[in-house]
Amino acid sequence: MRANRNIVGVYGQERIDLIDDTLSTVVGLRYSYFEGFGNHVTASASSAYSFQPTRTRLRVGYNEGFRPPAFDELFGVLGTSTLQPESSYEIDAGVTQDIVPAVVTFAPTYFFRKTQNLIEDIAELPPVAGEPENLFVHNVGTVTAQGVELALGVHPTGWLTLTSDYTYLNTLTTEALLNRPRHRGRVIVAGQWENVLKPADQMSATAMVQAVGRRASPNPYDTASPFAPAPLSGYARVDLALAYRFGGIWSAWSLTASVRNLFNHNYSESIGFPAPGANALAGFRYGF
Amino acid sequence: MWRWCAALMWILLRAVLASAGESVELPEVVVTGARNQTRLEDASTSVTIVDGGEIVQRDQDNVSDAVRGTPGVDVTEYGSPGASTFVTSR
Repeated sequence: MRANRNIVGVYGQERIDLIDDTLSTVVGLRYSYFEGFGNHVTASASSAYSFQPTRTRLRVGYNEGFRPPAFDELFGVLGTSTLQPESSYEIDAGVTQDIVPAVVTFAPTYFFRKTQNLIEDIAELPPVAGEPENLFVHNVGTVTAQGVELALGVHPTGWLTLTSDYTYLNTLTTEALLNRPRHRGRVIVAGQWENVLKPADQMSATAMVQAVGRRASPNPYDTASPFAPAPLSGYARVDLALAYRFGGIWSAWSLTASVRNLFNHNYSESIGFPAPGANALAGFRYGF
Repeated sequence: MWRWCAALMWILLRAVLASAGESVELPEVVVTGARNQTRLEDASTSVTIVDGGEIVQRDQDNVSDAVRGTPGVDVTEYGSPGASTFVTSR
């Protein structure tokens, strides 16, 4: 089939810096016309203030959004031709704090978003004849999501970096949303060394731990209602990576090696689709 | 056989020539999420940079691995790497 849609958008934005450039504000306004979904105006504004004596940066923002359904959501295998566009607004506020200048940085962010007619996709799983519409792409209704994102960066020495982040997400809605864990985080420890074997050589080693909490997933084994949301337990995965970049005339070449899912943890990102066990990769890169 | 050897020699020669020049210092990272180019420390919105150097160091070879774990982003792969991938945010 063929589908066409005319879209017109006009966008204006202004950045204003005040108080010796310590207070920065960005405001924007967008007019959009989507054929079949009418005219819409959305606004955005965000502001940041730097307080140098304590090396603190405060951020606050407000954004509106409008999204008509994509063609695959309307006409794809799981599409629904009667989908309504979704509209939303979001407020977020955060702080970036240098706890130890150039060594430790901490950045928490709070967000709150309200979405009308959220378009919920269940990915490209096969449709089931005779199943109710809520197993296909559909509008959920009003969804409220709020949470906190925490980011920590530690750079204790010239060669060692530790970064960590955590996301808490709480959604309020009439049905379970897919693939939205309430808790998720990761820790990355990376080391970088120079002049290892020869001058100008660079070597790095990275260890990454990712943890994802319990979440809802489409369950293909549910005989009563195939692909209906079902709880899926969380998992943690450890990856290691090494990279060695040659110096001098060989600087375009790098050797890489990595192990993913180091401890061969048996887990699934979606019910019925087990993730690969421990696997190793090795190779070289050439940069043109 | 000789063709393969010639091709390999060409690649090695290309590598030597390419790396013979001086390294270039790239400008400071800027973000354009708010459509204006802005230094990261001046951004008024929550921004996470997926750095190209970090992608190489972590030996990540697809977009889903690169953005997986980014604050506010969830990546779900349906099956083996490279299979259908589902991304949600916040």
